[in-house]
Amino acid sequence: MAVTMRRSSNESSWSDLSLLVGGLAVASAIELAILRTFTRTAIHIPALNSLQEPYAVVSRGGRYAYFVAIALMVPALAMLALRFGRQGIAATFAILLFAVVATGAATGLVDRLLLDWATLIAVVTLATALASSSPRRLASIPIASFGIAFALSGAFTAAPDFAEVDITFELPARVLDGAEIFGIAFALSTPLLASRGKDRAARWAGAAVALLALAFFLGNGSTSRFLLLWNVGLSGILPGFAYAVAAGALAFAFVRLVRAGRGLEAAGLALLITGGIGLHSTYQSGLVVAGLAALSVGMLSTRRADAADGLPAEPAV
Amino acid sequence: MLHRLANHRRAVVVLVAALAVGGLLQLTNTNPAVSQSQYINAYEVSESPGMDPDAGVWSKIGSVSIPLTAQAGQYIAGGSVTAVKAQAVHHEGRLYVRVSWSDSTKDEATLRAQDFSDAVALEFPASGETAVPAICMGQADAAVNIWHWRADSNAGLKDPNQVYTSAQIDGYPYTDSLFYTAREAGNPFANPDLGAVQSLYSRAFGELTTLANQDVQGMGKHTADGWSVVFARDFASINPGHASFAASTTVDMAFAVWDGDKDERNGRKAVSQLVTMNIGAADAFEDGGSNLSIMLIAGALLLVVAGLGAGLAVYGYREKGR
Repeated sequence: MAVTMRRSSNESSWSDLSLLVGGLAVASAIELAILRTFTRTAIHIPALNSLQEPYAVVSRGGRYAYFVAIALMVPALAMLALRFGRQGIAATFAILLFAVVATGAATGLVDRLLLDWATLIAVVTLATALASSSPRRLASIPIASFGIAFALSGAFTAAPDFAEVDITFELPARVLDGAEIFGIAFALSTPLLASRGKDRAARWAGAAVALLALAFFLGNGSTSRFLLLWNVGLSGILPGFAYAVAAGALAFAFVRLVRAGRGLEAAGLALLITGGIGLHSTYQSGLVVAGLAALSVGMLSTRRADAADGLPAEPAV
Repeated sequence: MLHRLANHRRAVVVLVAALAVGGLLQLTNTNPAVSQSQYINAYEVSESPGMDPDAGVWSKIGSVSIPLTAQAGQYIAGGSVTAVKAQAVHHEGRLYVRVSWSDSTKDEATLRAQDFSDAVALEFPASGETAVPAICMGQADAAVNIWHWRADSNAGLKDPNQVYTSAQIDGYPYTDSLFYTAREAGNPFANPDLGAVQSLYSRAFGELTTLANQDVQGMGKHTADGWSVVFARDFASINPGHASFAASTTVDMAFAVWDGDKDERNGRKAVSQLVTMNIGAADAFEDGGSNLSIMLIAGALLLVVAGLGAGLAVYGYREKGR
């Protein structure tokens, strides 16, 4: 096994944050699995009417995970913002900007025009800061792809907001095709976030998820595309094979990061997946903001750990 | 494991607190998250727009372009309409939604088995549902109310002699429904009095049902640009399966469009994902002018925020380089 198990010299200083962000990733993953996936596919279960009671219990569990994720998001974002020092001032600004407008929107003080565009600015700022300061040149590819996909999809959704001030501003639907392509590029390139080296378990996990996704797309292309659109903001214009390979690449990268002891980065990647591409709700946008911030802090932590362990630093951008 | 967790008391306390807060939020059904999906503003207007899709009020109200995707992934072709434009207003407790889309052919005659009608549907969560339903016909704990407008119903019953010009039809002197079997069986498409819109209810595939109380009106017009259809219904409705509306509230809605010329029917259609309709209490901009002061403030705010973000990013990047 060629995986380098990292033992960060400042591991304890990050672990509280890892626990919180990891908890947020777990809660949002449960919410995604139950609330956004199971309850929407349960209609395929034969004789569902006779299973109303267990269905209701599972559904309530998913809703509980959703509320726990919302409750965890506040301290997680606060801790992530505090972790950035002067060098991370743009990221701190982005997190605070999102926190302020999302809170304002929840209380009715901020309207959609400001909320949507401030969210886009926050996500693009975070993605730009992370891609430009990534310790590994290639790792900036998935981050930049995600940022572009989110910006394109979000701008399409947010453009009509200007109707609030009586301005007609629409973007062509082709913009969504661009978001789709960059979204797939993000997923396919996520293995670049992980370090080099062989990891058989990660490969098996990636292959298994890809095959499962392919079977789902071939078996029920209609429902799988609905779920794709609803869960991660992709409209499914590409062949099912592309999404299956993308899902496999995401699984590979996630397992590789976990097995390399880079839990915060793994949690960050998981949050980008559960948050999805484009504007859906302040909850999902919050997951994306937390995910990008966690990836950024995690990469910084890994670089410091490498330096402390005497490992050669890879060239920064 | 417990020993390791004990080293992170602060994080554990926060995690436990989050579990408790999550339970409290669920118990009180308090959702601090705000929708950021596409939305349509339904402003209040001073005069009723009526059922005419060409009524003047619609030209003064901004429209929202909503992208559609082909639902039928496993069929060849699938839904062919790529977007609809949606507008909404309300007047004296009555909601009006106007949907328009591009369609060069007017398919409103379905007398032959190979003919299919142009159609559009709006989907809302049924009243009393707390969860957001799946757009695929709802889900077990969240039903949907669907308003289905069809061009053939809009056009009314057509005389089969117009299509089958050589047909010989035996005379039948009575006008009762007994020998109009579809009408007698309660098929709403065979009843010309029910109007162009059917209000339907569903909580799963195969459970689509016509509601007993049909109180949604619809009127469509076709031009060279395509169809424009107006739906209208009072906010209040007596059936529990109907969508419920009120001023100063939001409601989720989705769209589906069928192009009969492309043989689209049933599940072969183009669909949107859920968008939000804000039923506002404020009046619409009906004077045709622009609200310059709000426009300038919003533009300035955006420039300031974007400039601040860019400036800080440059500052952070330079600091990193030191």
